[in-house]
Amino acid sequence: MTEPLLTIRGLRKTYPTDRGVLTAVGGVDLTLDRGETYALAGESGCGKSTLGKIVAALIAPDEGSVRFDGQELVGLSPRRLRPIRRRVQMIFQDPFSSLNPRATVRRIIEEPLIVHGMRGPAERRRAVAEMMDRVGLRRDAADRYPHEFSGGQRQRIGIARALILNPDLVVCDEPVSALDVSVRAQILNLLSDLQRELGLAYLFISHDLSVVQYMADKIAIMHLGELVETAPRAAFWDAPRHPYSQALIRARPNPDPRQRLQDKPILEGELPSPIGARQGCDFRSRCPLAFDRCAVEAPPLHPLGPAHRAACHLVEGAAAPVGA
Amino acid sequence: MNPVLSISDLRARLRGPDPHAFVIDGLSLQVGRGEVVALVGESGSGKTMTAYSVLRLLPSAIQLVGGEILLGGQDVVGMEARQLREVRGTLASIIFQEPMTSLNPLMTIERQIAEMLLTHGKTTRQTAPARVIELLELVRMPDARTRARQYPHSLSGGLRQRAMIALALACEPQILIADEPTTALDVTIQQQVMKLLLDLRDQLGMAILLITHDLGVVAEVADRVAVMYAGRIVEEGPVVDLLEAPRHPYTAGLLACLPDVAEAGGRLVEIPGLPPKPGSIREGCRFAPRCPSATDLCTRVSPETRIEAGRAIACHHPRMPA
Repeated sequence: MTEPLLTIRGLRKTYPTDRGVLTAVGGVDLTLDRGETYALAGESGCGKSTLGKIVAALIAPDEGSVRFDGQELVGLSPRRLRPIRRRVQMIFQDPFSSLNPRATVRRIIEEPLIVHGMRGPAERRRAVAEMMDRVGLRRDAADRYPHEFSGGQRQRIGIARALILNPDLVVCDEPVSALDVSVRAQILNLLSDLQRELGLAYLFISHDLSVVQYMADKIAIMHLGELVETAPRAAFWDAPRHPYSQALIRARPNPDPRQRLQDKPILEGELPSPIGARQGCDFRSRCPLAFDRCAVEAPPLHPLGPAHRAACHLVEGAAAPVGA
Repeated sequence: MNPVLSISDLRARLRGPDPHAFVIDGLSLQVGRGEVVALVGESGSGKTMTAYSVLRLLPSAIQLVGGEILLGGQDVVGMEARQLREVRGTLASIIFQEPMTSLNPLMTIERQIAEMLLTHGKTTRQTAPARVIELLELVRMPDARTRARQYPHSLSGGLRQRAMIALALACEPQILIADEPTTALDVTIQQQVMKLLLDLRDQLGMAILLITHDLGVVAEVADRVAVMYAGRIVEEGPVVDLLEAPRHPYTAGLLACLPDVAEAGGRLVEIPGLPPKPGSIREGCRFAPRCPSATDLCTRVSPETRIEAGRAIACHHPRMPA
């Protein structure tokens, strides 16, 4: 068996605050294969973006290991990290604030090549033109500036910049959340096409389960810095096992006018604070199935099937699906 | 029965040299008592400007140039500033995506709501504190007495939204205009807030004009839906009819391009191109350049709105009824 493209083990990241230590990522294990889309989903503040930035080597974790194509990234010197950075790129939610407003589109897309000292000017120019074709930007856009483009076009510029170095893994952080629905479909189709053509793997960060369902081969649900469930596509949508996954799936507004909000069960309460020490299961204050043990003991991720794990006491020993 | 809100042939345009730069172009819409009407559209469709014009809150770059807006039978378009202050909050209130748009960061929640009540003569200094708690309990603010004494920044996004709703409802308006009220919230909190709004509608009998881009939310909460494109309502009808059998090609396209309806791994339906900028299309249907059904007629003649079996459609070639 070949080694997975990305292997994360025991990853932790905390931040000191006035009110105590905030645990953004609290011990995450994850394995991503070549060419696959692994979605990281959860509500705001669950740590999914922090995890994405650690994978893209934009921030360093406190503890744990990130192995990319067999090489450990944590603790690597900037010089040793550089060739790997080329192979892991990132696409951001807001294509405007992530593009230099004073640079032309050509300059934005070719900059990674310059930074990495790759190819001469003529060759770079050709590479930029080809990449613009690939992402659906007109070539005459090359000499214009980001503010002259719509949100969808700007996202295409961000995608072109991420792909110009021919990466193996792209961390997509809410890539379509700021876009209108009609444009969102265009960008999701583009991401799918590029994956197929270039053999890319995506770590796809999103709060939107409809987008996740469409895009992801595997899904990890994150809650307060920890994974509560990981599963392949079919297992997740057919038989989600963690009560939080089940609640998120139910809460997703879908365009069926016969499923009215007033008839749906809803999750009461707010998320607990990510600051300070916590005991037991973090979801118990909102969990309809919580019992005594949940207050004292944090459930580990129990294996349930191939690549399927859930952190709930009720699935210990792989019993029948809870609440399904 | 008279509608709470009745908008007829409303027009607004960008101030500037182009007299055709309409952001709202001949829009008519009615909202009945206790009704939840969703005004749906993408960015730039004019949905938010329509909502703002009801309370005469349009930004200075946009000018109302025609039409009529009746709120509880009173014409808003010609109102003086003093009268407008009376109407805002009592006849109609507005809540925003970002609660800090309406909440004052320097005042406790209690003080802002009390001030609103006192300004409109809805309470006295003595009874104000009790009324504030009552309102916070109405919006199911957990631990209302403690929260009342806090400043907005110490509340979570969901609780701030509740505080804003309490403020908006303080003077018992007949209609609440909700401009993307849950777009910035997580799904589980979004559900709580939308459910609260529906419960309040049932309890207080107020109408809701919901401005949103999210057809999922529309499907869950609206009684009636109006779809906006480039300043016009292109289709309007009861929620089940409209979402299950859209007749305007734009409505059909919006529904078809949702990832919810796609097969995993299959291609999403796209609406090619982008919405037009105000004033950029002078003749014909504004959706024609992106429309799969467009003909020569569509590029020449702007379609009139026709009403058929409770549906309003502005299209030369509507899809067949289901």
